[in-house]
Amino acid sequence: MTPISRRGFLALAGSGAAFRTIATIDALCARLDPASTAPLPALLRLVEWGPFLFERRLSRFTGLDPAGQDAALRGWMTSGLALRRMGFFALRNLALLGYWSQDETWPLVGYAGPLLHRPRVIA
Amino acid sequence: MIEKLAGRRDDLRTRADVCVIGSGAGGSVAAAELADAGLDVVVLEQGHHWTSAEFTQREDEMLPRLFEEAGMRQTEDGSVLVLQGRCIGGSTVHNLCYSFRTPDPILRLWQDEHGVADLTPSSMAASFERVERHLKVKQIRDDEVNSLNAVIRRGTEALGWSGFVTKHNREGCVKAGYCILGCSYDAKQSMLVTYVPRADRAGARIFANARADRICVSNGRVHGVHGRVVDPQGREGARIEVEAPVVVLAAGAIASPALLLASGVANRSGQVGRNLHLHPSVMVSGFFDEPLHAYRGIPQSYYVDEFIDLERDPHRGYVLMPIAGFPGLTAANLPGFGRDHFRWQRGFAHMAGLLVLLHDQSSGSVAPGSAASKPRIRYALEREDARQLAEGLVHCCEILLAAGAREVMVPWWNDPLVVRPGDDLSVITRRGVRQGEIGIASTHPQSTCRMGGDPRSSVVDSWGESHEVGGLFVADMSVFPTSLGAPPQITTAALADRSAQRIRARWDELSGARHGRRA
Repeated sequence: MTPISRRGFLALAGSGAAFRTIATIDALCARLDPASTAPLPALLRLVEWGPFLFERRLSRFTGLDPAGQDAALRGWMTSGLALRRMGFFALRNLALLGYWSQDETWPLVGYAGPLLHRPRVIA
Repeated sequence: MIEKLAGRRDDLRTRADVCVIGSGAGGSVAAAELADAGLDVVVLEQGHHWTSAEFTQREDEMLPRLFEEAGMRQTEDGSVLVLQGRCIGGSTVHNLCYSFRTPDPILRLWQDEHGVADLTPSSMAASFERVERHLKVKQIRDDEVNSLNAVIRRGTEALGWSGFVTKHNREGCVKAGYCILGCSYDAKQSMLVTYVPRADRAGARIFANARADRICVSNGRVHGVHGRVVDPQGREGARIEVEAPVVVLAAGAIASPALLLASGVANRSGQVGRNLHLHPSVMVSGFFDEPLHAYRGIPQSYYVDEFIDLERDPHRGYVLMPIAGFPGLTAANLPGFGRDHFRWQRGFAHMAGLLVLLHDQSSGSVAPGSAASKPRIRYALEREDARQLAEGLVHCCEILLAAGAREVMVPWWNDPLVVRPGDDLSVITRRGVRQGEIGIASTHPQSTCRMGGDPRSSVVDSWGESHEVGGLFVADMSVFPTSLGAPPQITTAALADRSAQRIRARWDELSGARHGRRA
């Protein structure tokens, strides 16, 4: 997982603690059809260079402070370009799924977790 | 025999009487009925064969296992999430078990406006009864209605609107609530535990990880299917060639037309892949003071039909349905990201979801995409449909507020709306529903290979057989001539049963001289 994806995913998930979010997203992607995950590296590079490409700022995403990163991501979410919005929601939903699949996050929202305790198959 | 082909190195070449493509609500029924009749049936299912012992009740594990594109399949513009199954049993493994017969006015509509022959409640009765018996369809008892559905019922009744407790296809349900991630207890009577084992017992050869790539046709008759072994991660393996005088295509309303188009067959009408209806739905979330834990119990048992009257107008209307998810699915349906998102997500245990599901006139299309697993899906909401969805959102808010919600959130992505008791809800219809601005989902794609009496305007005839390719049948939701306007599981299965009975009755003619078996 690249620094951009680490910081981007955690910003999207609103996570103060990473838990195993990144490892879960990695494992999830490894189990997806390559046709679905093929655009992800290019998308993450676009997020990294987004401040320069879309806002003419002399910074990469990873060079921004947390408020700047939030603003950059909001630019993706509210973009007039459907493809850019689509990319945002793909990353956002992956981040949310990775984050909220962690047992440690469930007490934050009062979710009791599975009734069966079968061995985890990923992460 | 159910065989997982993932990892197989040598090519699979075989002959059969019937090759069924897909093992969901349509394919498994056709396979079981035809195998029971003594025919040699091969089933090709591109998804994996997972069993309840492997259902872990965890989203990160089950979504990639059970859903196309891990539950993230979208229309080309990203505006509609299209949820479909990808496993033995198809979407019946993750569906929520609403069990409705085809509404009578819809059968009449399909007869009167689309020329579908002999399609009446009485002519369909035997198929409905067979399917309901095998799926153990029964009325949900009042004491089985969970907290979420009870809240929606309370609000609906307070407003004096029409709603009812539905039938379902569960047996021995333990009320765990994980239906959408696959039933770990085999209580859900999905095709995985009903028709697929029945087909297996009757001698069908069922291959998982078997993707059909081409339907082979010559001289106006189908003669087989070519495909590839494909593992759960999408890696391609050995070749598959099945020679058969009858092919039943039941890969769903996205994959079925994509396969016909990729094969270049059965499309003289130009209708293959067109007329896509989605039953688009939008969800609102009500937040209550008391914890609901809406994810426990039977997820959907109540159904609000106040705003659909198919007898009066079979083309329009919408229904309202309770909906709950687990933290990941819920999070994906909520707007925003980071702290803004958490403002909603932290209400998870107190949240009641209610969605408006539209009997849509809007249409879209399906075409082969950049990869076999990624067909191109297009869909555009017509103005009247968008208006009805917005109107439905108002009614969702009214029900939740009447039930005691302290606030209700309508999830426009960029600027979610919060309404509280006494607020003016007309702001919802003024803002309206526009694609790309609010989360829209579909679990019922349909109508892309529609049936009808006229070969110029439909793909298959009244029994699902192609108008132009002998022996090629379609038996999934793609044959619906219009939007169904009701949950589609029983209709899909019953129409597949009807097609199977037709194949049995015409077997000597369909099989030709090459095969001597009698059905």
